[in-house]
Amino acid sequence: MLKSSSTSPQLVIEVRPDPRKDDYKGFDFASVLPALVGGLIVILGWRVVEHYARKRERRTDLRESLKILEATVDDIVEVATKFYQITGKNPDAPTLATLIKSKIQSLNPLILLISDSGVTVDATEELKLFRQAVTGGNFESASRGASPAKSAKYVKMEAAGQNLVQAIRLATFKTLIIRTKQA
Amino acid sequence: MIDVAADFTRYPGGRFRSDGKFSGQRFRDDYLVPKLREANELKIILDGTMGYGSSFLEEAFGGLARLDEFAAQDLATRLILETSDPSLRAEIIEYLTAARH
Repeated sequence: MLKSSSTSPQLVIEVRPDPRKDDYKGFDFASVLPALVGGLIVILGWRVVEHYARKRERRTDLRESLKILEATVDDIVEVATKFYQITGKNPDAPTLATLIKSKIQSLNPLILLISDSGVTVDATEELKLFRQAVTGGNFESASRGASPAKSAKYVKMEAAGQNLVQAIRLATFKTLIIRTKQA
Repeated sequence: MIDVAADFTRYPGGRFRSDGKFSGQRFRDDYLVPKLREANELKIILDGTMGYGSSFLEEAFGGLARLDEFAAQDLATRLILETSDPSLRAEIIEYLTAARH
């Protein structure tokens, strides 16, 4: 409105709130933030629990494989002791010999299984020496006589078996210690 | 090529022929030697048997190296040993090389 007075004409600008503003509902980040943080904590917690559960499982499998290997070596020495206490002509000798050879053969897959668990095992030499101690010389010879109870043969077999087990046990514990340090 | 389990037996055992049908001596004389006469390289598949005794391995491979027919120092390269067990390969190589001296 213009007035014919001494004052200069004025332009009045009236600012009214936008009527659409009441209808606008934008993303309210603040309201969902607690839920997001909660969800993230749950996921992270789940991942940590899963990680440690898997680690425990691997450790259990590893210890189990090691136990089987030790039991197999003990078993071989026991069967071989029976074998050498009888003569090569004994009708049980061929069966025991086959049993010994197949049990020794089963050691390599067990070692590979332990290696698959991330343990760096090189027991090639120890396994070779164990095979030689048990199945070398006149093994499977029909002319072989029975070894006396105090024969050095038994000590050699036992020692070679323990040497093999020890090599694998040491490699396993070394790996477990390294893993614990890295965790 | 010799596949021990398929061509010889799944139950190799014994040192001499007098020890059984599938001895190391028989494997050496009837399988290894004729094949090595035919070819420069011989692949031997060791997997698939019920296991090997050292007496068998020593007679077959150590005995092979002790023969005058083949240059003992060449045998370790002429024989291609296929096995999943590295200790078996190591043992055979030991017999092949030890017999040189």
